Amino acid sequence: MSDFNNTLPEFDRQGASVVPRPEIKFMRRRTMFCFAVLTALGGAIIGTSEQTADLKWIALLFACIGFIAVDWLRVFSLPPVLAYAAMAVIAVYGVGNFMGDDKMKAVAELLVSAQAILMLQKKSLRLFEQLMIFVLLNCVVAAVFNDAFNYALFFLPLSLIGGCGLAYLAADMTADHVIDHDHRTPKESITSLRQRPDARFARMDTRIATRRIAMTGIKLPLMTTLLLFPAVILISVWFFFALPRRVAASRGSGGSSARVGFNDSLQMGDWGKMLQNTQRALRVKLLDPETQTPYPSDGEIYLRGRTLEVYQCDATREIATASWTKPVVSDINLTVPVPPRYVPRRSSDQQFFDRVNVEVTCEGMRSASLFATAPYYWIPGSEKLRHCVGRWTVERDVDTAIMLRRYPRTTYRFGTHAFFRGLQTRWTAFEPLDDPFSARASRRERSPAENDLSTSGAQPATIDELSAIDLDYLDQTLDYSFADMPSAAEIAEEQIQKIPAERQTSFRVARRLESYLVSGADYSYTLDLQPSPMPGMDAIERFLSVDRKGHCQYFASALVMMLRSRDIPARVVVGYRCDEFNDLAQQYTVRQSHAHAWVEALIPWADIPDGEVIYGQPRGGLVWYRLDPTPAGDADTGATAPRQVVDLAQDLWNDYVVDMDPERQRTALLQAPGLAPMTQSYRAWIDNVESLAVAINTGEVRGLGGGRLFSTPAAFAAIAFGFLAVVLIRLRWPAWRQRRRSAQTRTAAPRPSLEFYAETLDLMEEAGWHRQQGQTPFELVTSVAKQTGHDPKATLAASVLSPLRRLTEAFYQLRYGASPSSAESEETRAANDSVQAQLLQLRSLVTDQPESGT
Amino acid sequence: MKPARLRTTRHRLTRLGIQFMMVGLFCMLGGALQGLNLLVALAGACLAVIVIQWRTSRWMIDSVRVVRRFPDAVFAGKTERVRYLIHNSSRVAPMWLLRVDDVLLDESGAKRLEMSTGVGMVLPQQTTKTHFDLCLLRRGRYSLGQWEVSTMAPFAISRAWRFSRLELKMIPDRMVELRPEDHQVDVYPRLLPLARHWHRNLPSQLGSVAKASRRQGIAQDEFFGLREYQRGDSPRHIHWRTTARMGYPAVRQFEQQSRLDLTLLVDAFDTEAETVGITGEAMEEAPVETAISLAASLVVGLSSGGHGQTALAVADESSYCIAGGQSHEGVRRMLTLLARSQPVASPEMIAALDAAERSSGGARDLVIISPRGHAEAIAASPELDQRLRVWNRRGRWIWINVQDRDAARWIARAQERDSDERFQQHVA
Repeated sequence: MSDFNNTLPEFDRQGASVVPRPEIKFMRRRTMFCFAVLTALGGAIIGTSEQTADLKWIALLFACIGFIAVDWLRVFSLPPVLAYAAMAVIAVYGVGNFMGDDKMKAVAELLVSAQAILMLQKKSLRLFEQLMIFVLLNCVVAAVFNDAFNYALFFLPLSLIGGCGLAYLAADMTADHVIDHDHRTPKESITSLRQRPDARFARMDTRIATRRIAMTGIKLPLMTTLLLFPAVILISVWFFFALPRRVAASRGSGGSSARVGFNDSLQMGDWGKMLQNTQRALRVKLLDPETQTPYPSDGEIYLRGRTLEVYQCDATREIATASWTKPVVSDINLTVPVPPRYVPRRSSDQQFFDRVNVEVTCEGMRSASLFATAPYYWIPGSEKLRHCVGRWTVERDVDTAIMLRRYPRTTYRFGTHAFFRGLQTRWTAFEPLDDPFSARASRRERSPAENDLSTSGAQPATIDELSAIDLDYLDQTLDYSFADMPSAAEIAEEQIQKIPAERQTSFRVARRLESYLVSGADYSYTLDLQPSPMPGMDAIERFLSVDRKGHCQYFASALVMMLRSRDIPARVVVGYRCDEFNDLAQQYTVRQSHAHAWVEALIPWADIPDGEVIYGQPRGGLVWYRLDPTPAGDADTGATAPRQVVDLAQDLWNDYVVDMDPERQRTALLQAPGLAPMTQSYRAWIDNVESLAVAINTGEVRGLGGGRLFSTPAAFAAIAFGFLAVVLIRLRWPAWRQRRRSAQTRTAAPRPSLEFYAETLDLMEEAGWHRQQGQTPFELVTSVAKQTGHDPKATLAASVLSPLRRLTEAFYQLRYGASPSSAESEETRAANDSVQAQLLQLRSLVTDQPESGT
Repeated sequence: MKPARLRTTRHRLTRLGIQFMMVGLFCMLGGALQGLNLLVALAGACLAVIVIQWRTSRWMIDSVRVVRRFPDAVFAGKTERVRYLIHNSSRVAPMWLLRVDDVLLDESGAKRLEMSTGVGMVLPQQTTKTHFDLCLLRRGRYSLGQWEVSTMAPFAISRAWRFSRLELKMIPDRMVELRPEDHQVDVYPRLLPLARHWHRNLPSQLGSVAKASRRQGIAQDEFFGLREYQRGDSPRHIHWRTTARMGYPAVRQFEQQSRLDLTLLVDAFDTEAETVGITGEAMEEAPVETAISLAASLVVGLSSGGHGQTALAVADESSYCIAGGQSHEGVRRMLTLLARSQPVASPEMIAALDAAERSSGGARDLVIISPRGHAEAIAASPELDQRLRVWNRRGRWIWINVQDRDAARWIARAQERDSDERFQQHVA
């Protein structure tokens, strides 16, 4: 009896030879591509940290291999058993690494290796899910030990591609579920093979639905991205800023290695590389304390890091190694809190200096040094700073320095009197070491209100008045060995001879020597030092007499020695000299290449020429004068517009994402550069509303009519408004209605009563030919027949035309011809069979066409 | 008491969604406790995706309206198209990646067919059709379960679904669920291709000229009496003589001819029915199914050919007889009877014959379709022979044993049927 059961030609005809539909293949390949890109980006985000930089190449390599060889060309795939074994091996290896020092690196390696194995496996929906979770974990790990701006650069494309991947996955899952119920498709689907228990009593064909889903699935991610991504961004931003924070922002455990900063000892020649590095070191924002607007400064600013007084040179080597260090005397390494603001006795003095608040954001450093413009004073935000007595440099408070080895990124503020009309002063008051005014002030319990009022004590008038400690310190700033570097004294002598004897004050000498070196007549600036061995020669002597070229360290050292040869106390100051002003962010961007060394010479008050303005700091006695002997190099200090944008983006990222803390959370929106005016107006509006509410409560509101019940302007406004409303309602509404009604009639197309012709029309609709309203069946045939050779649907049209024509003829025959209920005859039966056969042929043509015409 | 509004939508996170949530929560806690802002940003992104997914899929599933159109007549082995009209009632939002799952249960509830189809996108205020082609291999009574329309769009991290509302009935203190008859589907037996000239094998020459002449006019109906004319009565039936005498129109009334022309009797005999239990392909192979299928084919064949009145009796556990005719409804009832018949080891043949005789008003012609031979049936039930002899006096009867060579006179040979398949292979 078995042959009675084979009456399912549609199902048995093709059986297991059915190939997966091209749309499904196409969609699935896109999903695979998306997840390959996602894996590569996940690796890249992990690779943003220096410790794990190599991992990104591993992830990229396996993403490429996985997509090209496994998913696309299907050259090979890792069997599940092997994959499990490999995972186990990696897990053991990972646990081994985890016992070591760098736990996060071990985790990162484990993740990337697992991803590599997943990429080599044949993809299934489960595998896609795993890949997605691994990418998320990549982000987690990268977030824990990384705060680089690169994270943001990769995170944005990653989330975009991730959204696409998820959308593809949704389409894939839906299509796969429908395919799963198709009894005729062999399990090409990516879920595991499943024996269907219900196949014994029913067969189903879901190919058309599958194809529709797949075709939407191909387009869907674009729509999803366009429509939903902004919403996702909005919600995550809202969440980020709204999540209450109780702890201060902390940095990742890994951290980018701190390359910036200075040690207390400075090796000459060390700076060659650093001066070519454009990585950012500081951001310096100058603000007017009254208005909190950017302070307009002209030209470059000098930020002091360290003062170095002691010169040491080991000339026994082939190439002499020289270094500058600070004195070892303990008293002169005293640090105290930042001094209070200096208030001049004469209020008119305030016209000769500007009060400026400086906000500095300093990247991770290797030393405790921070940077400031002297003279500075305490303002809120200076708590993290310690003032180095006598040297006008700041360093981190020991409590805030986390480790001895590494100092994290920090932001601090101080006030300064160093600016006048946008220019930074060259003068810094001498601060006695034994009883500094700042130390005096700091010993007292200070309140912030008191800060501005406290004034300094009297300054020593001459060198004779100095204490022993100060004299000891000055001795070290006069240390000069004629035997080691005779050229310094000779050149100084030679230059000073050019100054008239009666005018040879220390100030003029200093200026003369500075301008000699700056002029570049005999000495040139270079970062490219290639010294030849010259045993026994001092580094400075060699610079002055042999090489005659070098960078700022050499120029500064040479000038210090020249000054000292003339008994003028001098010291090297290292810090940053910056003229890169970011117009967008209204702040200075200080790069490592801006690192600079200059000189300070101690000038007696008496030698200061008329016209020099020294205000805003204690007067009298001795003053340090800044000298910069380095001639202009060819270093590129200009910031291009794109670079400014990148810098600004980086600043925003650092300020509003990485360093979000409870305090900033409160003030974030008020201080954002772009949002400030908006929030100001918002606040103003709130204030207005509040005052209005108060006014209403107190009955002060009179309205347009000045308190009367009827008001002519209000009446006009109401009439105009009402007219507008009527116009809108009367004119626009019918247009909308009409459009909607026409849409509804379009959808409700009449359906023929003869079942076979109705199905014919359905099939034609699937193939892309819609029967228009009022189009007769024969006209439909004609329109199909008109498909020309260059039309993409022409091939299908040619094959479909014959069955369609015969079905249409049969429709006319039955609909308008002889009654179908006439006596049964062989002819009627044959005609019926023919109709069924044609219908079957049409169905197979339409459903099996490779590309849909719709 | 006002019935509570029944919730018909659900929303659940998928496995991926739960993992997403876990990672998001971990990031949120880690970020908030340790002050790692990048983790908080990541948590924000994870949770934003979940929120968007939740709102979008909820929106879609709240706007979706589904109408199921199951075909009116379903024959076993014939492919039918089950359609779903999916309407998006939202004014702005399109709907993506909708999946429709449906369930078909057989009468015992043991067999469950899960059906699925889907649609890629439905634009706002639009209706889209989707379908799947279904071919049920076994006749019987099935019930349609609840359909369920669901979506995983846009991000596959949750699934929102809506299922068809159950019919509810209020009884005094609680609400109970009703499963109306609408949800029941009868799958008619498989139609067999009948052999050429099969109708010539029928006991009487149905459809012949003799028959046609016999049915002409009103002469065949027995005169019953006269009554007053009513609106709608045929003028041909007016009895003019009485009308003239009474002064108002009178019509002749006839007793309707209650005799049928042909009775089909299906012998639902199956030895394995009680011992083994019919399952799966065993049922397809069973000869009794061929007998039932042949009966169904004859019912359909007779209905379309203008053959006059037909009655159908099925002898299974209990006997039923349905007198039908050429009407669509009559054929449907007969096919339904065949669809629901349960083969047994000892079918009630005598009772079936009685029932057929009663309802047909003593039909003369009888066709017995059986999976066993005449002799075998008589051996099992000796009374049958007696009854058939009585029947023989009134009309003719024939016995079709579907396992016999005789069956080839009724059922088209394999080669004939295969010609259709060959044609399709040619097309492919």
